[in-house]
Amino acid sequence: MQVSEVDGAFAWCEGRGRRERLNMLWLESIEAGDWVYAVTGQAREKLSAQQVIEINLALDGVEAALLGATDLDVYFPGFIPQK
Amino acid sequence: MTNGLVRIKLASSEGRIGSVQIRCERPDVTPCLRGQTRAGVLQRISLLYALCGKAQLRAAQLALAAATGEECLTIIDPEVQREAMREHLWHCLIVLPGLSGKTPQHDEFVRAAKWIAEDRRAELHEWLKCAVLTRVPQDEAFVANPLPRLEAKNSLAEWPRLNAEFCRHPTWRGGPAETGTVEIKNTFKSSCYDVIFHCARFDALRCWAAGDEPNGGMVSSVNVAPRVGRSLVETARGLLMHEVELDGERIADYKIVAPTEWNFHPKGALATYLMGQPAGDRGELERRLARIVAALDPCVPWTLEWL
Repeated sequence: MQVSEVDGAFAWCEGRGRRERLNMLWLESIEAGDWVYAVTGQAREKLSAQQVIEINLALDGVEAALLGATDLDVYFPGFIPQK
Repeated sequence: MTNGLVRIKLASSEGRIGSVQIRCERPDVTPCLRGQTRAGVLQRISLLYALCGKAQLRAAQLALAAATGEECLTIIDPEVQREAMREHLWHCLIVLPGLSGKTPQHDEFVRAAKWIAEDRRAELHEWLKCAVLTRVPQDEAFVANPLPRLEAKNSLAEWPRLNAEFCRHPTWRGGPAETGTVEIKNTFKSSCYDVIFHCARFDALRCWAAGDEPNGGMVSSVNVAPRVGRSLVETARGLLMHEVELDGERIADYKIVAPTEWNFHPKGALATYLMGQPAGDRGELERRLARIVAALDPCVPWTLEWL
């Protein structure tokens, strides 16, 4: 999720279709515009723009698998198996 | 994982809880891992798990190695152990005060988490000696069936192979069991298991800070069958198991059993506890439920719905 507004130890963040107030204590410093990995109301890791793309795709891949998709390589472009 | 949910549904009848449904809806990542190379599996696990990320990655590395015969005898993995200690610290200083109407100890958490990350045990030890830690109310009798500490090799006698049903609803010797810090219950005299969970976290922290070996961070792996490897890793939440089956250099099958599946089993201790509880004061019941759920510590959000 992307930090939109920092509020002390917390921050409002947006991403993956939701807006959430996350606890930021796991991270040393944070500012609006930063990307974070959010889990159970906490920001656990600060992410680079490239990581955001890869993780979002991976999570899309899990959701696609739940819907029955079987060819998931498009969601994990870093490691496409050699045929 | 950011996806997933533990869903608790309750219905009351004549002033008591008459129906309990607990469903752990963590997505199965197996389809994302099948057909991958070993490197691909490790990359995908890294992307999908931020919570207990080191434990998940270590479990994957060990299971993959064990599949080719490279077993790991039981050892403590310092990184996995530090990850577990930080989770315990979070629970003690942030979660527990919040559930008890007290102020979470933000500054203390930041300072102590740094000590753990940098392995500065002596400073943590000194601080814990005089730290004011939240006590939890002892008005409940939540009785768990603790899963014993297991190593990969002796897990084979319990579960020769893991399957999809076991991953969804794991059992030990025919029934549900709870994993996590409840395993050291005998250290404490209370009969209230959620209290024990919390106390055990403090104890694990103190133990680690004093240079002893607390629960958490133990890893092991075993070759289950030709081309099949299993790993067991002790996380802050409890036992994590990975089992991988190789087909040549590719993944034929992959199974993960996480602590959340143990602790939120539909017929586990939480369901047993809730059934028949007085439901006249829903607010009070919900506060108690929140404390017990926090003790069981799901790795995904949870919801309560009254039917």
